[in-house]
Amino acid sequence: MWPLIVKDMMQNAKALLLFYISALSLPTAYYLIKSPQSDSSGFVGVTFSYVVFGAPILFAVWFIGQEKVKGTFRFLKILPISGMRVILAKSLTSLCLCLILMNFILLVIPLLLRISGIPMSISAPRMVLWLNLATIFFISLNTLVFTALDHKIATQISIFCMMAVGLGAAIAGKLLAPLLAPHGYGFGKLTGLFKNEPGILYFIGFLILIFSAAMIRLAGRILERAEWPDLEES
Amino acid sequence: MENSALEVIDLDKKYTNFALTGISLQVPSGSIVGLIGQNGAGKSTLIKSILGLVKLDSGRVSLPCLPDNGRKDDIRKWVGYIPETLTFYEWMTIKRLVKFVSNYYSRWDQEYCRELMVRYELDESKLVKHLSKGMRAKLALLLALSHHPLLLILDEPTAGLDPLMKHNFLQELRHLANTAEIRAVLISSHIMGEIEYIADRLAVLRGGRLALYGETEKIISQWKKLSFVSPLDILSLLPQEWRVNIHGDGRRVLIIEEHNVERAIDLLSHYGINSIEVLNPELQEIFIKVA
Repeated sequence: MWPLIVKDMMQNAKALLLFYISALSLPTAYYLIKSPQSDSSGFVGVTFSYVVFGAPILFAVWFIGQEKVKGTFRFLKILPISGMRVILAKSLTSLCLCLILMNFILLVIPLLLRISGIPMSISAPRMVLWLNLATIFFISLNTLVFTALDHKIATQISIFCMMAVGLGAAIAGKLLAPLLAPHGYGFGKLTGLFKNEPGILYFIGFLILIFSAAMIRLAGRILERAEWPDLEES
Repeated sequence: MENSALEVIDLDKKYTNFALTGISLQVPSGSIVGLIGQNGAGKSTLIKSILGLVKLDSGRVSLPCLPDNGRKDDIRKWVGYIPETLTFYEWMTIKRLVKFVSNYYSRWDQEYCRELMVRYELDESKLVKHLSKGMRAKLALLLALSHHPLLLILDEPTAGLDPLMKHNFLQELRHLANTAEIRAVLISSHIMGEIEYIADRLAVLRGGRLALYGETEKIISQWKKLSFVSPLDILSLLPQEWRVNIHGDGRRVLIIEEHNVERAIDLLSHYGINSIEVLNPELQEIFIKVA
């Protein structure tokens, strides 16, 4: 699997470097510009939109979409490598790159800023855990969508799905808040309920991991069964 | 029965506008099979079906030349395949591409690979994107041969090669087919001279069906060429399936199966044509007649 991972990294080295530079400088700049009193929510917001939503699409375009457009999936198909191995290598590369980046932004940068004398709160471990799980989920989802569909359609579907999830959650929160508030239920209270039931949270986390693994496995099977003419896009 | 290297039994593969129907052929060990047919006759689809690159609708492909008939192991480990069009990683150097590919073959022979690189005059530091069409064909050959395949499947491999390189390649192929290691070669081409030179067996595809299959010499000897001079109106009296070609010198040429020769001569004599030459046709002429 290593040759595939190294190949993907080298093939997209320039794009990855640019992405890393922007992904690291944006939240840093955001914090420095904002104010010393600001908490870590700025980091979390930018990281969420940039890394959790943006990176999985970009990585899927670079690692899967480009192979289809350039016709190099066909080249891989004639080598004795299973589709599952190819997809696993691509998913692992995306996951490692994304998770390292996100945890660097959420934990290392605030820590460095704090050491350099800028007051900075560090994200709560639970928040970091959920962002990591969300990243794993979206990377798996994009891996599946980009393997199964034409990359242009996949990009549209992926962006639409992610926007729908984000907007849906925001709208539902806005709509439910006035209805729940008189009864003493709020978002804080709701999450508070889960805080006291860590088993539920771990179970949801476990489900996300299982579902993500299933999506990657399905993507591998799709590539394995893909016929030669379907491996190149115009 | 001869020791088979490859068997295709009743293979069917349907697309919306094309179908490969009822293909059955048996390739004996040590043979080179030339696959010929017009564009769209199904040559590449047949090759991809053999390799498992497209799913079969029905039928079976068996590879007795591979360990356990190629059932348990990934057959791609044992097959050297050059597709009709192949896109490499353009950003890689030849050296990097060779290194990348070599990771996936346990039988990869770096010494032999180097030898081929020298023979094909490939500069390993060159980027793939800077290679000419001919150089790409050579690189594809090098990648297909360096892991000592047991079965070689080549889809139009000489396209893009210069005449000298083409000649050398065909000679090498002959040599390879005679070694114990390579059990069989399946080669598709549009160039009849090439196929006639290299292939000891011929498979002619027409509209997704196998129109002819057998030993090259036997096939050629089964057909005869009748050359004669006649007025045009007589040609319409001959059976329609006997295609008549008109040569520049005014002579008519009839390509027919050997068992029809006597009947054809009788018929032509009946119309007063007596000066008939019976010749051996070229493969190209048989192909035009059959395909």
